[in-house]
Amino acid sequence: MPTDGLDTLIHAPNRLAICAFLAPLDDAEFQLLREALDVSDSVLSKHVARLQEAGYLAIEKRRGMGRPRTWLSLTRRGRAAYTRHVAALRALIDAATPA
Amino acid sequence: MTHQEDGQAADALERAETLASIAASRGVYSRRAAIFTAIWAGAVAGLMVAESGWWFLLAVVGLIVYIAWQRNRAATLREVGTWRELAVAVGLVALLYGLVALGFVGAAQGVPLAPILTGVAVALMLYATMHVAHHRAWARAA
Repeated sequence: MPTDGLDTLIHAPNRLAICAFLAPLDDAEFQLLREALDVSDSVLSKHVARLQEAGYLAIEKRRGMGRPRTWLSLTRRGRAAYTRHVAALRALIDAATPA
Repeated sequence: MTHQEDGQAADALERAETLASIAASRGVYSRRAAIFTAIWAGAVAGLMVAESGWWFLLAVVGLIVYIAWQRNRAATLREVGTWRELAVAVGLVALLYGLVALGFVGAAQGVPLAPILTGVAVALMLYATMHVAHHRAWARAA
């Protein structure tokens, strides 16, 4: 759980990457995220499931003309947690940087 | 905080910013799409002012292309519009309609190049608007 603003759930590199990718978006397709992060389906699924369990991420299956596609989006809670986490990272870096 | 932890935090933040930029680039329409949309809108406006029935066909084709693009997109940019931006958008739409209306008036008064001038004005205005909106969306996402 959060320590000094840092969120241990988001702190894992792949989960931070997922949140960072989804932050400027309303939603993104699973395959696009997988390509951007350069990870396998199973690795991404595992991290997505952890974020979803924490209520940070929402998953939606949409049916188009082709096969169903999986769309991911940050929840309000996830967006707030990511914003706090990034602010904490910046604060840590600023504190370590000599004036 | 150790130098190693400091470096890890900086690396994590840098990677996060890089990924946010990549995501934004996938969520925002491309310059090519802006040019295509501006030319299409200009052509539709010009044909309307020229009272050619082809404008309807062109409008339908544009709609089909837009639906196809929507189906193929893989990300949607988060739009957090302000009331001011909404007011500007409404004003721009009114201005576009005004340009077309002006084109009709010009054509009725016998201005020979009214359809072409209307088409060019609409295309230029739409492209400029999309160009500014593109940069604002990009800056907001970064």
